[in-house]
Amino acid sequence: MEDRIKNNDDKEDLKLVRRAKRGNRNAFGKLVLKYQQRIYFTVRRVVLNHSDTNDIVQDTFVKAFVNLNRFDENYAFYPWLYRIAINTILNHQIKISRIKETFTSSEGDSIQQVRLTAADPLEEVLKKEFKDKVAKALRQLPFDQRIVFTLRTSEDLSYQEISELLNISMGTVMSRLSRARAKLKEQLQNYLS
Amino acid sequence: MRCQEIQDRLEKLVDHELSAHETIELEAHLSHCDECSQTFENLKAIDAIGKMEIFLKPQPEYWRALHQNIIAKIGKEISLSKKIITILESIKENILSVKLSYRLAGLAATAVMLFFIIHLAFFRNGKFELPVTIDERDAVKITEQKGFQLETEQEINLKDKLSYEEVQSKGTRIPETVEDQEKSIFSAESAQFKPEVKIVVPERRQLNEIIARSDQPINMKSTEKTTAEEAPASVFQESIKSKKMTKRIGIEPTVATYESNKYQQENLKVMTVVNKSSEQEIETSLNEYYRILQQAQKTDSIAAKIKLWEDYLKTNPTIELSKKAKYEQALLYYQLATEKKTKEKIMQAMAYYLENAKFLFSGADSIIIEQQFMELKALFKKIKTGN
Repeated sequence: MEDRIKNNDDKEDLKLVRRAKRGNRNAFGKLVLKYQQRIYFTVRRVVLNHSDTNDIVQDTFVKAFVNLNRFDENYAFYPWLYRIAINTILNHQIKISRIKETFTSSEGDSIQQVRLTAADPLEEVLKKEFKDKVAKALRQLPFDQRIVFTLRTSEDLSYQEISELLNISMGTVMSRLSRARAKLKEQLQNYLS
Repeated sequence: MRCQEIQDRLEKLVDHELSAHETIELEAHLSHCDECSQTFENLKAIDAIGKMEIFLKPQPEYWRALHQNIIAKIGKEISLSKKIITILESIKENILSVKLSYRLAGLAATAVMLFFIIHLAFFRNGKFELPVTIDERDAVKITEQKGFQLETEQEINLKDKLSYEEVQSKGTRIPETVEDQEKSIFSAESAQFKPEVKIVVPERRQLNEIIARSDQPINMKSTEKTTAEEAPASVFQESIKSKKMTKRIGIEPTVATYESNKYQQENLKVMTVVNKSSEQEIETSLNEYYRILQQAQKTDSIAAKIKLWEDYLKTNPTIELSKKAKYEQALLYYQLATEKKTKEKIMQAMAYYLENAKFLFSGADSIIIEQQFMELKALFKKIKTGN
């Protein structure tokens, strides 16, 4: 993840941040609108639970607003926000470990959910049963392994970036990733073949 | 390249963590190795799981609600911050509006209160007490063997806890008034005091007067009652020569510290109490003291050292050692007791501590003395119970 300000998008963010620093809630509101879904899905892939994700996303933005004065304007806003989200996930780790909701049922969710569109190529191949199996396998991964696996595969972060975000060594990143893959392979062996 | 080596690096290949050279090398191997190639594909498939949308996406209404909730929470944060600032500012204004003198007075009052609280806490445990549990009969026996005579009229109850004042009062009597002091010095037959009782010299004021008239020696051998002014100035002549001693004279109203100029180089400090002793006798006593001191220093055996001093004190009943010397004596008894670990030696040590409690349990070294005494007590208990 590139931290330094590089493009116009980053510069636009910086303008909004400066206005927000002066107490302009609308400016910060625009940043929320821009990044809330990305943060939501990042958190959701690790947490797997909607209500916890909801709490964590809200906490992330509130923390970002409260700590705006600490934000270094030489850097891009989103990577900073992303770090806050990861830290908030880690702080909520105990809550995350009590996941009860399954992705297939709407119980526990206070919102209506939409199905994936047919344009998703995976959707055509995978069956619902497989999705349930995958969700169960991910949920059964220890949190430490799941977060590393998610950050690597769905967030496409490097070992170095994961190491910095989670404040663990590169060796630990690799070992947790390897164990996560081994466990998932064990759970989903039949589907892989 | 062996397949095992390849297998170990396939994860890094999937994660794009290999160098360009390594990547080419591995991909070349995969192109002709089915087993490694299958492993690689499995890894990619598992990683694809991480990219799967395995949960249903929220509807648009949720995103609006989420946005509103976040903005509302931020609004609360702003209000809370403003409230805190307002409270802090009002506190600041209140403090600043108070007169400086009142503020300082408030601070001073707080400091005084804290001082008293700390003071009370420090002295909360009350006065100093000597817990004694040695057998009374044994204690009496041991002290008599040592040559120390307890008050025969009263039995000293050593089983109960004795306070420092009780030890002091039940030990050797110390004359308190100047009149008593004079009597004790110049009276040949002072029936009130035992020979080994520490005889006091006059008070500081009188001592200084005596020193001032030191060119008028007085015959100490006279049995007639004499006044304080007629006290043997020669007793203090040595001390006059010693600059150090003039400071020490009269430190304690009941005892004079005497340091012979002759032995100043050796830093000997002898507390010599005089009971109608002549200068000659004092000199003899000091010589004897010095001899014993040298002999004790050459002796390695603690028991032998103690015996030397005990014999010396028996033959010189008017001698009372200085506080420093008593500390050193106490240490010898303590060392012997802890070395031998016998009931007799422990009781001997404890008796010495009690006998000299007035000197040992006061002053800078009192904490060490107290600790030693407690150790001896614990050791005695241990031996007695057979543990």
